[in-house]
Amino acid sequence: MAEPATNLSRLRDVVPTLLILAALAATPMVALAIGDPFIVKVATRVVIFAIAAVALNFVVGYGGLVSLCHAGFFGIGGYVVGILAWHDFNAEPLWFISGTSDLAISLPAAILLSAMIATIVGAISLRTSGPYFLMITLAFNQMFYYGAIALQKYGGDDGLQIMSTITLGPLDVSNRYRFFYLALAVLALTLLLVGRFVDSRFGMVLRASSKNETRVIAVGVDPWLYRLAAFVVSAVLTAVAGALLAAGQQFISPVDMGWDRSGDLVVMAVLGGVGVVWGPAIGAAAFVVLELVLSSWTTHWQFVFGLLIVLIVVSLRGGLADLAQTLFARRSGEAKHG
Amino acid sequence: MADVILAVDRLMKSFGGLRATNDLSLEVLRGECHAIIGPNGAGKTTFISQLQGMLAPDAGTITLNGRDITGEPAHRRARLGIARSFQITSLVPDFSVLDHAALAVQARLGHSFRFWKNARRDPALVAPAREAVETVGLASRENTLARDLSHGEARQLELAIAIAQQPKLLLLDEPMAGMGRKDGVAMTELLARLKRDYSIILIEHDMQAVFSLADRISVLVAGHIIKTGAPEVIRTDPDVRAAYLGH
Amino acid sequence: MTLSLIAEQMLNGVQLGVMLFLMSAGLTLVFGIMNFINLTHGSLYMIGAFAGAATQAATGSFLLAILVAPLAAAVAGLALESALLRRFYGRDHLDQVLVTFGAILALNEATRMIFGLTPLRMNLPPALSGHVDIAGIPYPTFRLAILITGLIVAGLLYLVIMRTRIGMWVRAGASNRPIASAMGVNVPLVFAALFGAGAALAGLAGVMAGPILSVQVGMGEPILILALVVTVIGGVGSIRGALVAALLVGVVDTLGRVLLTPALGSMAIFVMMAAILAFRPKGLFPAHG
Repeated sequence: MAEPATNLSRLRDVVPTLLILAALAATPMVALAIGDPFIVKVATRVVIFAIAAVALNFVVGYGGLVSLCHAGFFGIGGYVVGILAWHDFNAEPLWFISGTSDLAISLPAAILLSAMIATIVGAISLRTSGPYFLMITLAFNQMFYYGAIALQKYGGDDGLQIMSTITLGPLDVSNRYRFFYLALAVLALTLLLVGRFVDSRFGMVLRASSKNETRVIAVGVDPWLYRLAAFVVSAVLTAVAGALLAAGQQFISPVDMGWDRSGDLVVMAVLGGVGVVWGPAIGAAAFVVLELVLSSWTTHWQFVFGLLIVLIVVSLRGGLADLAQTLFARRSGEAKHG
Repeated sequence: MADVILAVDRLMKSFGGLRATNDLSLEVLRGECHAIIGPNGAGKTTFISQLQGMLAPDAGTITLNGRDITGEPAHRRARLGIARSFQITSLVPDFSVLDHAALAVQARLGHSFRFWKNARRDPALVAPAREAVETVGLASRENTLARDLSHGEARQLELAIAIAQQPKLLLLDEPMAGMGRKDGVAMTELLARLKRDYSIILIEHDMQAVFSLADRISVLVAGHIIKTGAPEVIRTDPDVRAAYLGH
Repeated sequence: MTLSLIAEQMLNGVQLGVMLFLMSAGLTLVFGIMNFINLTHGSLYMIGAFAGAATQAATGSFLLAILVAPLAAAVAGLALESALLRRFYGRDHLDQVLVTFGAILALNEATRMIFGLTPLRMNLPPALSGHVDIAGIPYPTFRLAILITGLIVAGLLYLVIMRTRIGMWVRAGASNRPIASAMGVNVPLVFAALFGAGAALAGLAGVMAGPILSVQVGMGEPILILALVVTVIGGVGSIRGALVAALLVGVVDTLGRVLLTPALGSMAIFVMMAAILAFRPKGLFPAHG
């Protein structure tokens, strides 16, 4: 993973990132060409989960912290958008704020709320390490899930429908194609940010701490605050993804934030490859498509899916990204490195 | 009054029923290379860990440059000027040699809440890191990943990291552990050069190295310093001999 | 909010706590000794419940059901352990989470394939379906039976762990893993046995819950997460901690759901967990210290 900061190594990350974004950007045109708008729906879903998976990987792959509460933040983002839209549609103020269907307001609101919650959750969870962190985040996810169900006013168990038209400032983004490119822009931004973060001084501390905490402390750095910051950043990005999900499908429900969704996000990251920033984006694509294909074959697709996950963990250590890199390296005749 | 950089007073540490550090008192003078020798199980690494901050003593005080650091956590002590190399090499497997030194430089420069600039291309980090790496003789391997280093090179890297911290006091825990003859000689020469710039506490089993490098030697037996003195004095002391022959 | 209602709910809370203890005991030991995060524990609970319900449906005997359930769960657990999970003992916790996650999905769906979507019901035998008078409060006989059974099993578990040689190995392993392996014990066998015992306890908890909650796919995970909370609050590796924490969680969860709305009350546990961890990050009785 670590390489000299030569131009070649930067190319190795920039090229796949651009390819992924380009491929995604092309999908609506393909959809238009063959006249199947469903493809755009799928592609939007891929983009949204890619944002969440890339964000999650910042703490899992680079921070060494297996978080199982990210679906909770996903849901928090979605519910902020949904609840504000509900108040807008029903012309009822939420305490002293009026509702809104404008993402220019609800996105920052989602960011703010998720940041605050993530700071508290992270501060508590990060006092423990490794496996305990895992268990505690799983517990917090369950808490968020029950919290969503408790929101009887906003649908509770049944979920919350968004009846108003979602806008971004003056732009109407309820159009499927427009919305897709909005989400894609967010993905591009996420990839850029996370990409810079992991190679920055902050990233170095985070990565070193994940592999050898003793060494980091010995040179004079306490990893705790860095881990907390990474956790908050990744939670916020995941919340943004959730906000986009709600805005895009005009619906958000507790199902979108259950413990199994947290597991799904981890699977996406690992499937795609935790060792590179863009890996989880591929993982999200593979996951969403796989889910779609399998569920069209059989209602019992979760059985096959579960077995596939097991298979992946047993064999495909570096994820699809590693596979892709190996194939590319072989083809261009480079020496393979580990 | 001699210039004392580190004063340890009546340090105690027990693990269950085992007294690993037993009323240990020691003074290290500024600029000296102070070696600590003793039979296996005497508690040398435990002592170093308490100095560095990885272990908290049960009783006693540690004073660095007149400041009581007994309650300070390890990362704070590093900032105050203590750098430790580990007996069992402690590295980040997929970081390069230069990355390790740069990490130490980065820590020394203050906080690391910088999110945008690529750390590997930051001359403020790379230049001092390179210097430290060159000092220990690893310049040709600066881009090699830690997991691909030979044992001797890994020990050198431990030293480079410590130097990159620009410490006031070096705690070297068996820097020559597991090294062959040739590497050991090179390391001894390197330490001889470093002596000029740093105060050093050196734990070593290699007696040739100890006697050639040390200004003073303390003998640690069962968690307690039984004797401190110049190398020739220690070499011929009957109590010291007994402590070693007894094992 | 009458006193008798609160008293009844307290008893329910203790009963839930006892069941949670059965679940967490297996979890905390498997994690404490084998360093393995077993998220399939909820599935084993579910398998016990289904095995019990199926047995009762086939034979009409409740007694048979509660005997078969832990057995079935133990067999399933051992099969899972030897075929798959034991390869992951040394591996990353991330890998362990993934493999158990995949196993949960597969097991849940497999159960759905065998038993269909409709939840199963378990009927109580006439002897257990009445009420018992406890200090003037009519309390369901079955719940009392669960409470007593759970306390007996907990008591036996406590005795075995604290007073026997086997228990000593287990405690030594939980507090210092290298020693356990250095003792020359057949480690894979002990691990498997431990896993199987934990599975049996989960299966027992599952079949006992059967008549109260309905037996359905996915019933195991909420209980698993509660058991994880118990493990974390109690201190991993500590049986005593698991017992205290289990009772605490059981009572707080039950009272929370009754005093607040069911959904809001369900959050109470996690808030309590957060509060406890804020002061004691290692739990109340950490075995590792």
